[in-house]
Amino acid sequence: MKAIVAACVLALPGMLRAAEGALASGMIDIGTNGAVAVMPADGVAAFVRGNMAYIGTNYPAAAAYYQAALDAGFRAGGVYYNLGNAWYRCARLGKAIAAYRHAQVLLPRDSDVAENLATARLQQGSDTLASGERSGAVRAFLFLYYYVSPDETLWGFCICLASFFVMLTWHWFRPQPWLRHMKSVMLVCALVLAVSGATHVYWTHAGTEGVVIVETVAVRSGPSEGATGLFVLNDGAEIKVTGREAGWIKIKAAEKNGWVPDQALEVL
Amino acid sequence: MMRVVQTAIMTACVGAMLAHAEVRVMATVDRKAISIQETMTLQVTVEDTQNAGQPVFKSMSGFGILQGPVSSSQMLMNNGTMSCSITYTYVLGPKAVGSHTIGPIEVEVGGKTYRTDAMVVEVTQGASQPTNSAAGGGQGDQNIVILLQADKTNAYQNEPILLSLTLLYRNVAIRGIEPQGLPTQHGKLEEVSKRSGRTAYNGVEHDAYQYQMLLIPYKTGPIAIDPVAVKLQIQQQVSRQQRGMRDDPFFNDDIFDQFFGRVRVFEKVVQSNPLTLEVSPTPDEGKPASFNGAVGTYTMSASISTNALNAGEPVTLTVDLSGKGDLDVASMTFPTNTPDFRVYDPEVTKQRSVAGGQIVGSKKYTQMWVPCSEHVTEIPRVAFSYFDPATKQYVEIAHGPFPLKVSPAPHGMAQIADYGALGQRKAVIKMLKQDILDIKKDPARAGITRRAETDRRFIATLVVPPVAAAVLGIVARRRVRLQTDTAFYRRSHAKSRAHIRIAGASAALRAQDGKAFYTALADAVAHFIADHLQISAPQVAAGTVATHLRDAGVPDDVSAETAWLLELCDYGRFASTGFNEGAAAEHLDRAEGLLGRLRKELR
Repeated sequence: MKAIVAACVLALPGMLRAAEGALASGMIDIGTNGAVAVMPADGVAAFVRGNMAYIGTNYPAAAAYYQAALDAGFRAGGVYYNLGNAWYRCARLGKAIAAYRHAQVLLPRDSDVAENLATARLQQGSDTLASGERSGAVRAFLFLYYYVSPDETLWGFCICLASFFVMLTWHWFRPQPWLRHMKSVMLVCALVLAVSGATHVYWTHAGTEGVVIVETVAVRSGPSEGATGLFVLNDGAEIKVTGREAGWIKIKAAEKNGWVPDQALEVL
Repeated sequence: MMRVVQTAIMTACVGAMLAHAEVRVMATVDRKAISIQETMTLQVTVEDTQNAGQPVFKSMSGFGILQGPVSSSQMLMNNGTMSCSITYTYVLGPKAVGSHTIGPIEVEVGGKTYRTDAMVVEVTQGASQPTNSAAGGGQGDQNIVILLQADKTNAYQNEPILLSLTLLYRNVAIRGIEPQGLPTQHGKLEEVSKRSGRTAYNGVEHDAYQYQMLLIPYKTGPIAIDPVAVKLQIQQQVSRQQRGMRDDPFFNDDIFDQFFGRVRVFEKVVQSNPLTLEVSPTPDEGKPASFNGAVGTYTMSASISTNALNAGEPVTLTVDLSGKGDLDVASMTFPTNTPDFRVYDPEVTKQRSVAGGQIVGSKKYTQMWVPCSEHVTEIPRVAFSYFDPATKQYVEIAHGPFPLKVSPAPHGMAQIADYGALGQRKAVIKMLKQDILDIKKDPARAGITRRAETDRRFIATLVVPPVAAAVLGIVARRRVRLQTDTAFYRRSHAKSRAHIRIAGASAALRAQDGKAFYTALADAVAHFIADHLQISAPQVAAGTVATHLRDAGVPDDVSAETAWLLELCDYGRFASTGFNEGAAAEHLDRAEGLLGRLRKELR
């Protein structure tokens, strides 16, 4: 018991750093021609202005506002979702899909996100290589990863850990038989959630998947412009990242490997 | 009891008598010559037995059994001789003109088969003979004639033929008419009408009842329709003499019989004439490929619901067929699934009726066609063919092909689900267009919150519980130790107790109570040392404290000063000199300093 408690306590700093990282904003290149002169520093205000621009069909401005909210550190599933909508209206399928994918990590059970992502992928036609999505059974088994957001995982961990310490303290002053079992249960839950949260953070920052965000990109045999072009990917194609080298990213798409310039992709 | 014995004896005697009697079987007919439309009665009598099997006709060509068998038994006692018999009665109707043989007829009695002689009956075509009432004694001549007629004797296969079964009768009261043995084996028979009235037959007015039906022959060749039997319920008045009552000249009048309703009803079966028809197949010459056997006159129209649609959307083909003829035969065939279309079975609605001796009706086909791709350009031609017996020619009616403008299915358009076997649309959702859902407008619902707040709450939840638990754990552990470890308890409380005693000494000093002051001061030091050294306070005295402190490792100067202070306190408590407040205060300060040093040395 002491060893487990010690392990949790030692893991606390790492979890804090992970939480910080999870809460940090992503670095997404806007590249829009609807730039707004002054971005509000308040993420909520930027979000609201983005909504107003979207309703007024000024989609490039809306995308800029949403991105500003993200850059201000207000990393929320709803912001990514709205950003995806704005990019979709701007006919930037790749950016839209990337934004929806980010939103799906933060809002894993949101049906609107899933539906819009499906719609965007459908617009892709035959280029949609997305998934590698696992079967429903696997996703159900790994529900903590697929159906619980990183924030919810961290909060769950905190609550379980807090409950554990409360029960521990309570047991010191008023020993009860059931408290001993509940302590163990809370500790196990905390450990499971810690592992799930760490997995989330790892895969989120591992950058193993990406989306093509340019109109068309040639996939080459090597990390240089002189390499042979093997095949072409269009805007919105979802790929797996298998390597990086000096401004180039090695990708895998539909069992085919190749290299693309890193500015043609948004790594998730 | 006596009665039962008598009955048993009588039965045994009869059985014994019968067992020795010789069985005889006889067959008789009431007439040896009849016309085709008349009936005759056949009786098969088995004598000298009470148990006999049913008669079996070995040969009865040319006749059909219209009624029977009706069995009756008879037992007679004559001059002491018992005789009994069983009689089976049949009503036979001829099927064809000519000489026909009935029998021999076999009957099995007691395991032995008895046979009658064959009988020959002459059946003539001739005009119907007046048939008298079977009951006899009828009032006046009664004529009953059944005629079977057809509107045509030559027809084509599937061409309706109008058959009329006409009952003509006079001087007879008929209460019920029931045709039997209608010719259903030659094709489909459909009732047209039943009507009654009066008509002249052979120059004589008759009551008439006519039953009309349409025969649609399915097979070709000669059709021999056997005489149709009709069961009649005839009402007859019964006179007083017939009822065996006294012949009273006053009461023996028809009016009384009619007034008192003295009538009886009996059944009689009469037969019509036979009929021979010739059914020809439709000619092979000029027969179209779409011909399905329809004979008559028809019209057809066809249309589609739309000619511009997307691939995967349905278009309805509607075909209306109407005319004179058997619409059950007049059917259309439609193609099944083709590479260009997904085709569903048509839904058919039909109406038919009989008018003017003909079948008229309509059929409507509704069929769903779903083009599989935008390359489809038309729905193929639909055709229907029939044979017109009036012109003796085939006629083909065709509509189409029906041009279509099929556009590619838009992206994301869901395929419409299966329509089902009857072409009924089963899917309830039809996608019109694919588009994204609207944005999330509420910042709270979008999950966007101020980062700082989130961070503070998160950090607080993560940090506070472990820290609090650690602190409380220490407290709990100390609490337990205080309860269980006396030495720890004394050491823990030594300082506070000394502090309390010092405070007491200060109070005594202010009260200028020298004895109390020095007592408190001595107690403070002695108890402090005793609590730390786990000895009793009385053991800490001026003469012994140095030894205890030395053993505890306390430096000699501290030990000496402690001994000096204790000795000073003893002097102050027990000496009778006055109280010097200034000196006492100095002693108090030195005691506090000493306690501090002792605290360090005894930790």
